[in-house]
Amino acid sequence: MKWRVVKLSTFNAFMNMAMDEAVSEAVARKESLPTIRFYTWKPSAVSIGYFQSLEKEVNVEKCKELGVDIVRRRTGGGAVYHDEKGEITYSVIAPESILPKGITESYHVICNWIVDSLKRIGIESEFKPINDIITNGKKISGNAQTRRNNIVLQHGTILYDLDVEKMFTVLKVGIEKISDKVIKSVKERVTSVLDQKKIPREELHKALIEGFTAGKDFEFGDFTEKEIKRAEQLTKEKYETREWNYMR
Amino acid sequence: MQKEVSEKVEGGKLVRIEVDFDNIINSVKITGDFFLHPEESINNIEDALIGLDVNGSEENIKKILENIVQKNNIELIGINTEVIARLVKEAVK
Repeated sequence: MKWRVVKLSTFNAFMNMAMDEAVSEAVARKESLPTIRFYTWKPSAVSIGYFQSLEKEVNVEKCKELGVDIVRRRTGGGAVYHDEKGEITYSVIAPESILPKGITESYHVICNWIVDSLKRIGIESEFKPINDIITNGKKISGNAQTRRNNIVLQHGTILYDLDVEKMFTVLKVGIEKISDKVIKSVKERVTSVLDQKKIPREELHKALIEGFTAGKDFEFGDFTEKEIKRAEQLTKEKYETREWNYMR
Repeated sequence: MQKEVSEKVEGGKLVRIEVDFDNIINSVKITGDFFLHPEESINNIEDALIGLDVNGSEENIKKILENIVQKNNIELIGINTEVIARLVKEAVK
């Protein structure tokens, strides 16, 4: 099965999530090939998991003050701060039939593409179930998956440069989330590519393309006009709306 | 009356339950950073708890949840029916 790879694009939070949904629809209709995309967020944004309470997870006032967007994802998982310069996000959008049937196994397969990619820039890492990738015991990537209409959408971030102070300004991190560990600072539990290797972000992008496409039949491509138009519609009618983002 | 309880599921994620109740459960909201497939079935789970007597057992709550999970083919990751039942019971104590 041939894959389409869309190289790094930059959109705002709402359009990024809308693009994932628009591409999922196109893949479901077989109008587009299974797709791997890489992207960044401009402006910086917080995305929250489908099941999270926006007000309990995000410092809305601080986000307004700093010009940080807030968007709810279609996928579960936690609240993520997407720094404009600090990470690369990927999405894998493919029919269920070409990925492992089980959700846990498919996390493993796709996360191993990230492990492969990081190895190419000299970073040893491993998949830590449920949905993390760690290096030297510290988290460097978080991932989330949904399956709808027989299409798997998995997306995740690879941390390139972590601004812990800013992250904690925009996120409300509850004490319950860390209470079962010895209380450590976030800097001891989370790391970034720059923490491990001084390389430009474009080198991470190149490594991700190589790691994600290794052994695959693929072609580089762009989003279709239809996908973009649909994403613009979804941005306006869903992802930018209070009804969607404040759902829980 | 409204009460909120939460717990970090061992090896898993944070689960938070907000319950509105008097003699019966009026509404339940389950939030957290877990995964649940299909995602919309969270509503089936929350709705199944509406109308339950607050003096009912945790075991009974769990049975009702198990039934909904089976009926709707729900897959829970980083959350389970036992923790939901326990937190609901704790909230209405």
